[in-house]
Amino acid sequence: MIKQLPELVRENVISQEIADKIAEYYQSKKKQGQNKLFLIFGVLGSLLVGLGIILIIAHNWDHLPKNIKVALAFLPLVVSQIWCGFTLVKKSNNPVWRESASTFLFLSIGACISLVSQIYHLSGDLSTFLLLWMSLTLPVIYLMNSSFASLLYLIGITYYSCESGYWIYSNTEPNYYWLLLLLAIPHYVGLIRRQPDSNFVRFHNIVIALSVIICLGTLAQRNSELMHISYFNAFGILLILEEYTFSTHMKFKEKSFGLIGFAGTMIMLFSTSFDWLWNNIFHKHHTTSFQEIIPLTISTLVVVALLYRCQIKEKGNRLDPIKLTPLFFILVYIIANFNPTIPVILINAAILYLGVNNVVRGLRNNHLGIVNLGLMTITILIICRFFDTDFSFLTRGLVFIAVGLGFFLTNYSMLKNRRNEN
Amino acid sequence: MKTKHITIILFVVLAIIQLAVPAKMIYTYNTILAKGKPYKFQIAPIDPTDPFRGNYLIIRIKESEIKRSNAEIWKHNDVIYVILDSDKNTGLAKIKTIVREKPQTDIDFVKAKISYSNDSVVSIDFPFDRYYLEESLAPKVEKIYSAALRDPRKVNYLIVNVIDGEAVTNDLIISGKSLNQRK
Repeated sequence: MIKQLPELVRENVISQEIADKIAEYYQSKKKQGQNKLFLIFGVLGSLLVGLGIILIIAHNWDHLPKNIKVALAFLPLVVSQIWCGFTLVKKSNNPVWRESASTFLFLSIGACISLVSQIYHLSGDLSTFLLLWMSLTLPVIYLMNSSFASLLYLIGITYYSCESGYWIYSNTEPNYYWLLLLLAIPHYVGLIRRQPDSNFVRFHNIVIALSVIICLGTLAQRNSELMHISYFNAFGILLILEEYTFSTHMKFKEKSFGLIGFAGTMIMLFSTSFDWLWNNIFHKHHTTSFQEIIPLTISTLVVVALLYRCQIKEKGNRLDPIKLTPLFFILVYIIANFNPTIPVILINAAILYLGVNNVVRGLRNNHLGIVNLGLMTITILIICRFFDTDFSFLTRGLVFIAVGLGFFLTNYSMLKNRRNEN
Repeated sequence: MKTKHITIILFVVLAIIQLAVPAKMIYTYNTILAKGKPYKFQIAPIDPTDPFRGNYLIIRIKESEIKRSNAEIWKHNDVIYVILDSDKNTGLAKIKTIVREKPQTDIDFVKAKISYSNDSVVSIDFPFDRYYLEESLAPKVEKIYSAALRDPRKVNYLIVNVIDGEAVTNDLIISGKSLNQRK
């Protein structure tokens, strides 16, 4: 573009002044790109050095005297702290310095604690070690204003929660994951406000969403079936937040939320479409703990509030029906207490409706992808029913052929329409 | 400018805390080692295929079960305090009893967890279950360790210093030889 500017000026297509402005604009974009590159390399460099030190820990150098080993254990931590201090004093406005120094500090904290444990044969739970490490990292996120440290922290607390909540059988220690997550949110909100279109925001969106989804199950205690409602709510919230306006100053847009929300909702619907689940598990009465009621209540209230606001904004327009799945499942769950057969019918009908709705929507908007998504939904539903019904092979074969033909005809019809339009 | 100064001061405080945490771990270890009473916990044979996990030896304490008539009240992962005693003949550590509340009297005890309980037996998970070794020593030590554990004539034990419920590993003795000195 820049190379063509002199020709455009010569031919009087644009004035010299406009050409200069265009050149200046593209130069600034190039500089931003270079800054991002420095940032990536800086962070990668810190990550690799830090990980390299941790690998050296694994080697376990026994031939050195204990006091030398201890000194070497503290060395990365001290160096990273000096680096962070220097960054705060002299380079606080430079994101490359801030992110690199914070990343190295994050890894050095973990390396120091684990090295000391090794030197002195200190046993302990992995969850306790992770909790300590993340607790010492949390202030770094705010003092250094480091988004990469925030991402590492979020991954760390997810691992801690899984270790504490899933992998230790009958763990009596409290799981501090939700408190630790809450403490990281202010940084995340600040990031959205300051740099709504940055890659760090996108990474945070994905990491936080996946972290919450992964760790939600740790709240299950006596009535884990109740967690299905919380999961439906969580996926529903992601679907709604895919594109949401909180206020005139704060608009949220994250495509990956839509993907995770859709995939999660469909997986949950398919997994709860089997009758044996409702007859043998959901229908039985369980006691419920406070720990399971809280996420259910909070997530339901959030879904209702977001849907209500969406409905007001959409006014005459219809909400995408998949966003109503959380409320639908709550209704189904209540019905299951009286009759375990009706929920099976309702859920299968809902899946069929969503599939057909996507086919119709795709045809209307001339979007082949949505049409095929709808057909895929119907196909998977049929395959699921293939395994838990007693239809004959002939019947099943005919149904499959019918669906397959449906795929071909719909795609052919759409492609033909497109050719005619062109 | 003022915000920057506050940030720097807070960071210095954070740095001190970050250094203090591992330093305290070392201080606690050295205090227990200096003031704690040493107990010899006999080691039991372990899975023959792999006593080595990564860079540490798995230690299984032989004296880790106690008979209790009401074993069912002791649940997995319950925190307990193991009152210790030494065998007069062998000098090895043995379990006197287990209690739920931290003892207030001047006796030797270790904070531990319940592993499992069935019938009239309660099994205990002691906090000292590993011994770190350098990678290059691992193959040699693994052979000696495995062979020594299978030889009933050899007494192998872990020396643990105990004070006020806290315990730290001091040394590992295999076939009468210290692993600390073998390195």
